[in-house]
Amino acid sequence: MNPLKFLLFQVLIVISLPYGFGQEKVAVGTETGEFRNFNINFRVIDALTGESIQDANILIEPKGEIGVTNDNGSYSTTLYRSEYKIQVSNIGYKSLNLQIIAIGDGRLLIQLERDEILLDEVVVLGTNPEDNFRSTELGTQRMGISTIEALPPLMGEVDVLRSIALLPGVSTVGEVSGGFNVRGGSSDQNLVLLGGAPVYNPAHLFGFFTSFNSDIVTGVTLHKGGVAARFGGRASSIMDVKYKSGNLDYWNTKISLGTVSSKATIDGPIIKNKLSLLVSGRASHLNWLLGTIKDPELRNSSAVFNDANVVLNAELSEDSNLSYKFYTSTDQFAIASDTVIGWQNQNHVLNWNQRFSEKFNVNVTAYSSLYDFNIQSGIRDHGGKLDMNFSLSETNHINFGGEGKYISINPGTLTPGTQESPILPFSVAEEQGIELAAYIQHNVELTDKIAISYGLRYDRFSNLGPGIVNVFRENFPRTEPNIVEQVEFDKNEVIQTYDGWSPRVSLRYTLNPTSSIKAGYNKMYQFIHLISNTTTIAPTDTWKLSDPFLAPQIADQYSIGYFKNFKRNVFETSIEAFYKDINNVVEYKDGADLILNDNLETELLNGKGLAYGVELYLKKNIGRLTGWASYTYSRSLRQVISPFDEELINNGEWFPSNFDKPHDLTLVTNYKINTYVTLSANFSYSTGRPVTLPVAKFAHSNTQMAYFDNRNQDRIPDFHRLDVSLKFGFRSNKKVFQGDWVFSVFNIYGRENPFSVFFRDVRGAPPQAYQLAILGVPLPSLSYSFKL
Amino acid sequence: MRRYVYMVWLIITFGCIQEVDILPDDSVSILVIEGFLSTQEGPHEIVISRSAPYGDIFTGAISFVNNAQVFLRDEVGNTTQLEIVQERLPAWRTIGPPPGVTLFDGFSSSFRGRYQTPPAFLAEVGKTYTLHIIIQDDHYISFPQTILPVPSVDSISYEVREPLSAAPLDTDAYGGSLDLFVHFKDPSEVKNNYLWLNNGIFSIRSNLTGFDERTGQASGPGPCFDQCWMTESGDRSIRILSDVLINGTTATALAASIPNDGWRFSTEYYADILQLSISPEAFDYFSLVKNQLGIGGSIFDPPPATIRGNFTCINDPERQVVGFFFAADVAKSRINITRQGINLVSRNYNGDCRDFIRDRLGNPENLYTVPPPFMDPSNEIEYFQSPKSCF
Repeated sequence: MNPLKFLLFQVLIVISLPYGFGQEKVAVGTETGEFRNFNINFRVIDALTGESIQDANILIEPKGEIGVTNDNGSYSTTLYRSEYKIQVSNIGYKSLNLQIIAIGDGRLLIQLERDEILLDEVVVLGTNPEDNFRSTELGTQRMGISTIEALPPLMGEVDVLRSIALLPGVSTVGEVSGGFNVRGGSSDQNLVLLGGAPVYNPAHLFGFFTSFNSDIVTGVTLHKGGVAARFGGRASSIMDVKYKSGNLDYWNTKISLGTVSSKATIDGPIIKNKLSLLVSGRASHLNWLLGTIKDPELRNSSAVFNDANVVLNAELSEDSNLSYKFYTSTDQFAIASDTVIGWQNQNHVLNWNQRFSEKFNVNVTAYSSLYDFNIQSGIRDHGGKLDMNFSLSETNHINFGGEGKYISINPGTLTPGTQESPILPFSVAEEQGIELAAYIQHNVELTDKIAISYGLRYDRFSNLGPGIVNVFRENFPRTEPNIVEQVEFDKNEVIQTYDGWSPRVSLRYTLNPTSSIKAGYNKMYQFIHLISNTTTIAPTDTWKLSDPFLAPQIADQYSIGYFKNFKRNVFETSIEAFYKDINNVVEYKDGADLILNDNLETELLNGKGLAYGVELYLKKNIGRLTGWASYTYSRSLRQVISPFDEELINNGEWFPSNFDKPHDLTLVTNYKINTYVTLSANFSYSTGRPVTLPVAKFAHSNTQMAYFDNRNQDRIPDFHRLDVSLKFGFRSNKKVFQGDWVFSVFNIYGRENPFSVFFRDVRGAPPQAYQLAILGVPLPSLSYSFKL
Repeated sequence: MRRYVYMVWLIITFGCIQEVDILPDDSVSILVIEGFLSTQEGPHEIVISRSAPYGDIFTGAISFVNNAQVFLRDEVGNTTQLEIVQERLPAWRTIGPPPGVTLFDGFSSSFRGRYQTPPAFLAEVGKTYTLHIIIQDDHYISFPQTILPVPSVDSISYEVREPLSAAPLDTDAYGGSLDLFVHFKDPSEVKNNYLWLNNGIFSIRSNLTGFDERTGQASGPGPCFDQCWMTESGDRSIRILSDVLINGTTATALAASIPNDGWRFSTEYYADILQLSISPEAFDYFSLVKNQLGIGGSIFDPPPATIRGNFTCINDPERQVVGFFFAADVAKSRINITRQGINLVSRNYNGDCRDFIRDRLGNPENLYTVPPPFMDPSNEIEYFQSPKSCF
């Protein structure tokens, strides 16, 4: 055992709430008689279950430091030899006050007791509020599950992805649509990670709900700018959804009954304090609802969605943790006797975390991510990551590591329905590739005022055979008649390789104890692209790897911001500006045919993307009233230039992307009326998204058709909506009655926000513009959840 | 997939589709050319018009171009002039209190931008044609179109598609349809693209009771007919198919789906199916038009696309022109469908059957009180060639 470890074991002191309620002074560390800064590690756990408590707040006075515990419940700091008052708090737990004397390097284990009666005052932190101006992070936003659960739900479903859209710089093309857009990027430019593995379509019901069960999630971190070098693979953002670890002490069960679906979660120890199991499942009741509809076609239809998660967590030792996570989600729809449409995600993740010393730890992840969608299509993504963290000092860290994945995409097969079917079996060739990356990042505080985080990432992607690559006639547009030759590649033969260096840097300059200025730059590479000509993600959309015709999307982002906290961190504020240009954005020819197309490159165009904007953010962390307001002004533009007229879009001029919404305002409030009742509301407003309006009508076979010219030159009416919810926390001796009732009304004033506008000439009416509003009326719902 | 989304949308939300007034202030006037050449007997027709601002007739009406010089040229330089057709348009008068009843009131002559080839002109397989249009000083020309041979139709079959839910009997929405399938052998050695057109002839029998259902008044004066025929195109949907999925097979394709309105299949129905071979460019054009017609407000609709076609203005290549000229070989086939065996709701008309058809068609040129000359006489229909008493 190394000397440091030995020392730590010697000084390990356990403080439990009943005994150490701020009365006794506790010495931390082994007495050395030295007068210097000591490394102190706090670890906060649940007094009952022994589970690590993530996001617990640790206030250290008189230093005035506020810390937030990490995934492992740990928070490390340095304290000079002195006496300190420590206050530890977290939602749902009784606050703990204690006095300590730092006498040497050491560790303090703190047990928090659950608070059965909720506090009148709510603390919504999730992160250290001082990180707002102290960290070098730019454009990173975290949202704890308590914040997500406090938002008004749609049809009783707490939604992780929808919550993200309430943050500045994040938008969606319309309500209840799959996918989201970050700082002017398309929805495929966001890497969604669940427990470290990518999820390709985390949507239920075509995007009405997220397929992540909120009961198994601790929180979400969105990296939209200043992205750390350990992340890559997508051009715009990384959304990191973290799993809960299971209860190591006792079994508990949570059941939630909702309008559309119900869910149950059970977790507890298989081996006490060593191995825990968490199992959660959710199933829809839509078939039951369908059965009540008069229309015989709908009554004979079927709509099913469900998802399940399993987490096995083994505490191998104090410094070693091994976990396995499984996630599956399925959606299936069938109308009467018609064919079935559906999609499925399935992830397996194995993670090993080993702390070799106070200064060095290693995290190893292996995953398998499967996504199957219609017409027998699918993605197989198998990969692994190695992350190593080396702490030279409290303010000087080096992270390095690498990742690799083998990915294959089956764009689809069409199989005749019956033996008599006249249709020939048809399939589009499968694609496969290897993506490798290595990175190093150094975070250091150079002076009291200046901190820098800089890193470099190397990405390399190879598209591998077997495959056939078309050769087109030179100086002619890329169309099927211009294919002059086809080159065949053998299995594992490299068809095309792309690689590149992605520098990342962010700098913080502290202006005063409550404010700072930060600036950053990052470059991101993306080698997999969603091929979708629709406004929102559809389950029939296919994905495609970079190939000789489809170069990787490369984004360069510059950002700068001013960050300030007020009133001892009660308020966090920030103003951030960004400028992003993206090369090789995928655009589509007019009327592109994308489904089951063997020569997809003949339908695709290579475009440029440009996005810029300013984000304002004000957050209130503590008090009866908590919440945030965010306003974003941003533009997202596209340009397609080509020597061939038929490949030009809008004559090569810049035009607004489908999700260009310049003004975006969000207000989120939670008001704790009393111990048992909380009122929540959120209001969203944004400019209507771009649409192409007809500049003329013309006759075609006795129908008057719309003639469209330049893309996206007009806008649909503005979007705004208010949602409210009221949460009652009932207390009772019987556990079944001791639960939370949530009554919510989505779209309370019944705004008919247009999702799309289209044009039709129907018999008996003149040619007319119509709008589709997805949620046209107030949508009330009721849900009840309780623990057994 | 739209139906699936609609299902989900219907059961868990209360969304709606409604009219919206967001049309752009500016509009453009574009030349629109529609028509094709085929190996069938002529005359073949090209219609030339100009686009109008999008919206109802008060926003702008589509105007016809009647002063064009239109001619065809083949690959060896033979030129064929197309002549403008003077059209007989029906005139109408309204009787009774508003909204009143509109009755046919003779014909008036007019030009509606229709240009026809000489009757003797025949297009030939293997030949390449170009359409030229000269309007004042502007010369428009189509891309050359070569006529590719089309395989013959082996047979036509039909399937009755019954309505899923009962529609109210007092509306036209009787539900159900008759789906017509063509069976043919697709040649394996060449890439084929198909377009199907359809024409229908149906007969209507009426009860001569001395009472006219339309006007609510006594029939007459004058003689009445109790059996009429009319021609129509029952299905105006774009029916196209590329042979990617059927190459070299004995294929079956849906060539028409004719909705039941209670009248069409009340006695007998003759369906003519025209199977055309079209170029890949024409196939792409029709796909684009079809996509646009299919946009119905689903959240997964593709964005609208610019429909252009294969014309260019020689003296101003930047000018926008809409429309596609194509030339095709045609295989024609007919099926006779009788009332027996079709379990679709039908109805009867009380009064002179001519009034019914005039009212419905708006173009009495297609009204026949004797079987039309191109109708196959080898069936057992009893023809009523003489007018009868209205009672």
